[in-house]
Amino acid sequence: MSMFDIGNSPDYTAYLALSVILFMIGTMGFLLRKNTIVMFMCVELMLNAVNLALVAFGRELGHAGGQIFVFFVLVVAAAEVMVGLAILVAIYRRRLRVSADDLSNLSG
Amino acid sequence: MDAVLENAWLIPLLPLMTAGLLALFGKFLKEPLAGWIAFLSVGASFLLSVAAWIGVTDEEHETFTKKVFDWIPAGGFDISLGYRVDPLTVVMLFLITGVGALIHLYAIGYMHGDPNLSRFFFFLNLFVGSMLILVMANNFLVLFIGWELVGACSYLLIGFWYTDMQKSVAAKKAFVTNRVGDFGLLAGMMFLFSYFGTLDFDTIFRTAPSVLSGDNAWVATAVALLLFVGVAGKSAQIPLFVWLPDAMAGPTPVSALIHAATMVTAGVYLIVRSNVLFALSDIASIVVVLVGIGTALFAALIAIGQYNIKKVLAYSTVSQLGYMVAAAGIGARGDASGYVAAQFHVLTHGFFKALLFLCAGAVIHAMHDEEDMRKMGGLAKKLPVTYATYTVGLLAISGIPPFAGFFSKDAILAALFESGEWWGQLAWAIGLVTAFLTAAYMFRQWFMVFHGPPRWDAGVTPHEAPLTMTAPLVILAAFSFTGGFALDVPELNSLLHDWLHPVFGVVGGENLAGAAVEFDGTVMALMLGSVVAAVSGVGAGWFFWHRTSGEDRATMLEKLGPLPRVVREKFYVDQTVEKVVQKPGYALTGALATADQEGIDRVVMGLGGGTKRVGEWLRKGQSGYVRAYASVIAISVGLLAGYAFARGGF
Repeated sequence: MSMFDIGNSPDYTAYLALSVILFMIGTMGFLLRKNTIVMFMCVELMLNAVNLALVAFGRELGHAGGQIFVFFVLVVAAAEVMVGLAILVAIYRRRLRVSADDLSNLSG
Repeated sequence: MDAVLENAWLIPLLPLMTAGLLALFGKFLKEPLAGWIAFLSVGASFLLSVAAWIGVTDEEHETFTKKVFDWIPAGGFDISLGYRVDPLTVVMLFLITGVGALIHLYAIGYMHGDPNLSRFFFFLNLFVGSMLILVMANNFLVLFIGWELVGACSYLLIGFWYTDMQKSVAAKKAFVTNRVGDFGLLAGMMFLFSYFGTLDFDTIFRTAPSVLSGDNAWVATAVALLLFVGVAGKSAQIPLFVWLPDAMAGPTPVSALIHAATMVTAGVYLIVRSNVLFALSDIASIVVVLVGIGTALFAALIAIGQYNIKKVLAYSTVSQLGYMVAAAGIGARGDASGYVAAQFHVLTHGFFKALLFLCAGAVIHAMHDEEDMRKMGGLAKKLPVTYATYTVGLLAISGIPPFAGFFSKDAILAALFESGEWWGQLAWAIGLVTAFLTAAYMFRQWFMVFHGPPRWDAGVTPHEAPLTMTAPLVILAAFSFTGGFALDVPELNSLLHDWLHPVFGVVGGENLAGAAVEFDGTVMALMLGSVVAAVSGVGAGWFFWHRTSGEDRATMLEKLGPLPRVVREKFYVDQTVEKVVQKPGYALTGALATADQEGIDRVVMGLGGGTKRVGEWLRKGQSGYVRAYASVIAISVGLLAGYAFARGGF
C-alpha cells in the first residue's frame, strides 16, 4: 500500500500537485539565488507548500490534526522570520551586502 | 572514674588539636611559645592518662572499649571508630605521653633559634597524637591509621631540615622501607577479615583459638607472618632495619622520641596485642624469635664499628628492639612469660634509650653540631649533668644491676631460656653474647665521648645545656634507675606481670601472660650469666678503648684481618640492598618507562595523529557556502524519497 493511497478525490490530488510545485520552486530558488532575502522568501515558500499539503491531508482524512499542525508551522515560521530578518539586518549593517556567498567564513 | 574513660578520646585529641593550632597559626607564635603550647598539650594528655589508669584500676583491670561512631557501615563490612583502654594501653600511654612530654620540654631548648620551630612542634604533636591513636585503637583498621600516621610523621621529621639532600634522602628511605612492612600488615588484616568477618580486637582474639584450629591452623601462621612483616618494618628488624640508622638525620629529640622510645616499639606492641595469633603458630614463633635475636646480634656487631655518636645509639636501638621482638616471639611457651618481658623492655628501653639520645643531643649541642666521636673526648668535666645522667643510662642499657635494663633484659633472657624449646635456648645463647657486645660498645662510646684527651676541633668551647634540656635528663635518669626493680623482680615484685595479666588471651586453658617468675636455682644462674656477660663487656670496653692506646689498638685490629673493615662498613648491607633491590628496581622502572614511551605512547599518539590526518582530509569538503550544504540536503532528501518510492512505502 502506497502512502498516496489515502484518498482519490480530484481536488485532493490537485492540491498535492500544487504543493509539490510550490516546494520545488522554493527549493530551486533557495539553491540558485545568492541574495539572502530572496533565499529567505524561498524558505517561506517551502514552508507554505508543506502547509498546503497538511491542510489537504487533513481535509481528505476528515481529521483536524492537519489544520492544527499548520498553526504551529505558522507560529514557528513567524518566530523564524523575526530572528532571521534581524540577523539579515545585522549582516547588512556590517557588510552593506546580503549575498550568501560572502558568508563563507566556516569553510574548512 | 567512668567519666574519665568515657572521655578518654581526649587523650589523643589534645595533641592533635595543638598540632592543628600550630599548623594554622604557627607563624604568629613567637619562639618559645609554640614549644610550650606543644609541651603543655602532651603534659595534659599525660595527666589524662593517669586518670585513665586510675579508671582502669577501679574497674578491676577490666577492658574498656567504646565505639565513637560508625565509620564504614557497608553491608557485611562494618568498621566503627572506637577506642580501647586496658592495662596494656595504659602502659603505652604512660610511655608515650610521659617520655613525650619530657622530650617536648627538651626540644624547647634544643631547637632554640630554629626558624621553623612551630613547624617542628606541629609535626611532633601530630606524631604524639597519631601514636596515641595507634595504642588506643580497638580494631586493626584504627590501629592501621595510627600506624600510617606515625610513619608519615617520622618521614616529615627525619626530613625536617629538608634542604640538606642527605637528610631528605634518609626520610624517603625510611618511608619506602616502612611501606614494605605496611604491605604485610595490610595483607594480614585482609586475611583476618576474610576469616573473622571483622577487624575488632575483642572478637578476633576471643574467637581465634576456635576459628583458627583444625583445617584453618595454617591461617594463624600466615596471619602472624604477615603481621610480622609489618613489625619488621616498623620495629626495624632484619631485613627491613636499614632505614632506622639513616633516620638519625632528623633532629635529636626526634631520634629520642620516635626512633628510640615510642614509634619503633609499635611493632612489639602489635605482637603483644595480637598475642593469641602469634601463640597459635609455632612456625611464626620460631621465625619471630630467630629474626629478633639475629637482629639483636647483628646490629650490636655493627654498633661496635661506628664513629657517629647517634649511629651507635641507632644500631643499639635496633639491637634492643631485636631483644623485644625475640621475647614477644617466644610468648608463653614452657615457663616463659615472654610477652610481659617484651613489654617490660619496651618501657625500660623507652626510658634509658630516650635518656641516652637526649644526652647525645646535649653533647652534639655542646660540640657545635659535631657528631663524630673521634672529635670528642674529655667532656666529663665540661658537661657534668650530661655525664652523670649518661652514665646512668649506660649502666641501664649494659644490664648492670640494679639499673632498669638489667631486670628487663634478664626477664627476656630468662623467658627465652625457660621456654624449653631448642630455638628459645639458642636465642638465649645469642642474647647472652649480644648482652656482652652491648656493654662493650656502650662503654666504648662512653670512653670516646667523655674520657681521654680532648680531640675537639679548634674553636669549640663545650658548655652545659640549659635547664629545659637538663631537667628531662635528670627525670629520665631517675626512671632508668628505678624503672626496673619498681616494676618487676623475680619473686619479690610482679607488678607489671599482674597488671598486664588480663590483657592476654587464653589458648588451651592457659593465660598467655605466662607464669610469674619465681626465684629458683635456674633463675639465679641465668641472672648470674647476664651479669657476667655485662661485666665482661664492660671490661672489654674499658680494656680495648680506654687502657689500650691508639697504636696498640690499630695493631690488634690488623690481626683480625678484614673483619674490622666489614664491621665498619655495616656488613655491606646498604651496598647489598643497593645491588639486590635498588639496581633491579631502577632497571624495572626504566624498562617500564621505555615500554610506556615507546609502546603505549606511540599507540596513543598514533591514534591522535591518525584522527588529525583524517580530519585534514575531511575538512576539504566544507566549502562554507550555504548553497552547497543546501544542495547536499536536497539531493539526500531526493535520494531518500526515491528509495522510499522504490520500496513502495516507508
